[in-house]
Amino acid sequence: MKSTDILKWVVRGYILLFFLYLFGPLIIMSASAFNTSTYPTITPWEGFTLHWFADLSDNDKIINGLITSLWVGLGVVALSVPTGLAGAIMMMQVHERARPIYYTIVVSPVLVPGVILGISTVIFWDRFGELVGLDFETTSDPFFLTILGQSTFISAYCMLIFIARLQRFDRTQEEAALDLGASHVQVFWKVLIPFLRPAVISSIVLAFLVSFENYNTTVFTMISKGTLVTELAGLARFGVNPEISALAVIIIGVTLFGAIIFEIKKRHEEVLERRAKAEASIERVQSASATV
Amino acid sequence: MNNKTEDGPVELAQMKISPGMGSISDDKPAPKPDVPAPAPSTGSSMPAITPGMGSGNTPQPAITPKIGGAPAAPATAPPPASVGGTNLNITIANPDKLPSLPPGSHELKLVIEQEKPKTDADSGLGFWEIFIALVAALTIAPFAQAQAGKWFSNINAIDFVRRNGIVISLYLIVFSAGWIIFMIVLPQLYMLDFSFRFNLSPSEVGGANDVYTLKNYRYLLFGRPGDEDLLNWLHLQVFVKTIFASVMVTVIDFALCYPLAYYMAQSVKGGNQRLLFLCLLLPFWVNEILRAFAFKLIFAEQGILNDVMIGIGLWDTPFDFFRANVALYTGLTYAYLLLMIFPLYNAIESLDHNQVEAARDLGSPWWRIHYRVVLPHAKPGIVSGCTMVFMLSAGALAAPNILGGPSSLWFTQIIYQWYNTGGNWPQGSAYAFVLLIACIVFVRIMMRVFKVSLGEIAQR
Repeated sequence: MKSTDILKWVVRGYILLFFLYLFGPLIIMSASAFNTSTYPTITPWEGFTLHWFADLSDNDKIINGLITSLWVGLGVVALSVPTGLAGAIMMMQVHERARPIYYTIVVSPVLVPGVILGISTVIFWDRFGELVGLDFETTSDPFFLTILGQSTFISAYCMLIFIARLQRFDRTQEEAALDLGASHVQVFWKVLIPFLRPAVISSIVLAFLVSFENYNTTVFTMISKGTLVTELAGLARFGVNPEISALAVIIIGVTLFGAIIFEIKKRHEEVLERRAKAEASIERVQSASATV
Repeated sequence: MNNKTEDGPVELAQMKISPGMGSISDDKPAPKPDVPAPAPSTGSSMPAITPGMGSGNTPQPAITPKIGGAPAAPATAPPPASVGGTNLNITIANPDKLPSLPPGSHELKLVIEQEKPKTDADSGLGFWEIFIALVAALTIAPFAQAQAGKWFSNINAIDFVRRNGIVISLYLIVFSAGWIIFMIVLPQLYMLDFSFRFNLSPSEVGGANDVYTLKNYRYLLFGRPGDEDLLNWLHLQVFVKTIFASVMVTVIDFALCYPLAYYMAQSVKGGNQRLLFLCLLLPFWVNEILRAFAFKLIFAEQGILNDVMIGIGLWDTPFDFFRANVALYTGLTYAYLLLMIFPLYNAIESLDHNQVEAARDLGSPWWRIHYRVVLPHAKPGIVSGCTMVFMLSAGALAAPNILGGPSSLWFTQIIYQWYNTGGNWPQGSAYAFVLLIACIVFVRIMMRVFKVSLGEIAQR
C-alpha cells in the first residue's frame, strides 16, 4: 500500500514538472510583454504597461507580414485541400500492387525537412520555368513559390486526414446513388463531400494553421518578401525586444482560442461517431441474435 | 549628362544592323534592349554612333536625326560605318519612333544583343503543349485501354473512369499527378541535378561550361583545393554535430514522453484525459519562433534563470547558456516534445491493459513488463515519433538561428548561407541533398531495427 502511494506521488510530481516545462516558458514570455522594462523579462518587475502593444501596431513590417501570411494561407488552403482529397481518393483506388510505391511517394514530403522542400521548389521553378518558357516574373513570384512549396507537404497532411475518414466510407452509398440515376459529379458533391465534411473542415483549419506558422520552407520561397513568421524570426534573431513578447501574447491568445474551439468540435464529433458506431454494433448483435 | 534615350526601351528607335558585305541579312526584329553595350560618350550635341575607338568623331555620323522638335528624317540609306575592318549597315526601321530631342547634350546608346545559344525553349515545344498533351494522353488512355481491355482483363484504368465519371476522373488525375510530378518528384530531381553543376551566371547556363561536376560534394569533404587541412573540418564537424545532437534530442524526448504517454494511455480515463490532451495540444499550436524566443528570454544573460541562480548564490557571474549550446538543445527538445508524445500515446493506448496485469501477476518486475510487453507493442509509435523528432531537429532552422551560440552552426544554417549570402545555389543543393540522405538513412535504420513499414510511421 505504501509503495503504491509513493508511486502515485512520483507520477504526480512528474506530470507537474512536465507541464511546468511545457507552459513555463510561454507564461514567462507572455508576462514579459506587460513589463515596462525595455529588456523583456519578469525579473525585476518594473511596472505594468501596454506600451509594447502600441509599438507593435506601428510596426509596418509586422503588419505587412501578417497580410502576406493570410493571403498565403488562403492560397495554400485552396490548393492543398483539393490536392489532398484527390490524393486520398487515388490512394483508395490505386492498384493493390502499386499502392506501397504510391504511398511512399505521397507521404515522403511529411518526412523530408522543410528546408529541402523550400530549396527544391525554388530551384525547380527557376530552371523548369526557363526550360518551358514561363516568364521569370511568375516563376520567381514569392506568393507562387510559397504556396506551391508549402502545399507540397500540407497536401500530404490533408491526404492523411482524408484517408482516415475515407476508410470508413461505405461505397454502397455511391453505388445506390448511381443506380438511382445520379451523375458522378452529383455523387461526388451530394454523397462523398457531405460524408467527408468533418475531414474537409479539419484539413482546412490544419492547412491554414500549418501554412501560417511555417518557417523552414517559407524562408526560402519568400525570397524578398516576408510573412509574419519570417519577419518575427528576423526580429527574434537579432534583438531581444518586448514587441516580440507582445506579439506572442496576441498569437498565443488567438491560437489558443482557435485550438480550443477546434479541439472541442473534434472531441464532440468523435463522441458522436463513437456513439453511432456503438449503436450500429448493438443493432448488428440484435439482428444477429434475431436471426438465430 | 541628360540621357533621353535611356528613359524607356519603348522609345528607342529600332535599328537594323547588318554586315555591309550584304551576304547575310538579319531579319530578326530589333534586339531586346535589356543588354546594354557600353556606349561611347561623344559629348557632342549631335547623337552619333561612333563605332571603334580609333574612329572617334568621324566626319560621317551614321544617323543624324533632326533636332528641335521636328520628326526625325528617315535615314534609309545611311553611309556605312566601319567597325574593326568590317562594314555595318545601320538602318532605322521605324524612324517615326525617334524621340524628338530638345537642344542640349545627348548621347545615343547602341544596343547590341548577341544571339543566345539555342535552348529547349526555342525548339518549338512549349510548356502548355507538353502539359495539354499529357492531360490528353491521360484522358484518352482509358478509352484506348477499353479496346485493349477486351483482350487484357487485368487492366483497370477503364474501371477507374467508369467508377468515377469523366469529370471526377480528370480532377483526380490532374490534381494528384500535378502534385506528384510537379511538386514532389521533379523538384527533388532538379535539386539533385543542380547539386552536380557549377555555379554559373544566368548567361552561361546551357553554354559550354554547363557540365556535371562532383565539385560541390568534394567541397563538403575536402574543402577548397589547396587548403592546408586534408578535410573540410568545419563543415564536417557541423554535420556530425547536427546529426548527433538530433539523435540526442530524439532520445531525450523519448525518455521524457514515455512515462507520461504510458500513464495517460493506461491509467487516466474520461474527463481528466481530455483535459490532459487539451493542455498538451495548446503549446503545440504556438509557433516555433515564439517557442524559441521564450527560451531566449529564459537563458539570456539578464534572463530569469541567471537572475534566479545569482540570487540564490549558485554562481555569481551570468552563465552563457548560448555558447554552451544548452539553450539550443533545450529549445529543440521542447519544440518537438509533442510530436513524440502523441504517436507514443496512440500506440500504447491500443495495448490491452490485461496483458500488463497478466505479466504482473506472473511475477514480472516493472522494467521487464515495459521491456517485454509495452515497448514491443508500441514499436510503430516509437518509430513514428523518433522519425518525426529527428527529422525536424536535423532540419530545424529557426531554433538554431535564435538560440544557437555565436560560434556554433547548425547544418541547415550552412545551407541557408550558401543560398543567401554565399549566392552559390548548386553548393547549397549539394548540402541539402546530403541532409536529405542523412534523414532517409535514419528512417531506414529505424524501420530496419524496429521492423515497421513506412505506412505505420506516417499514419500516426
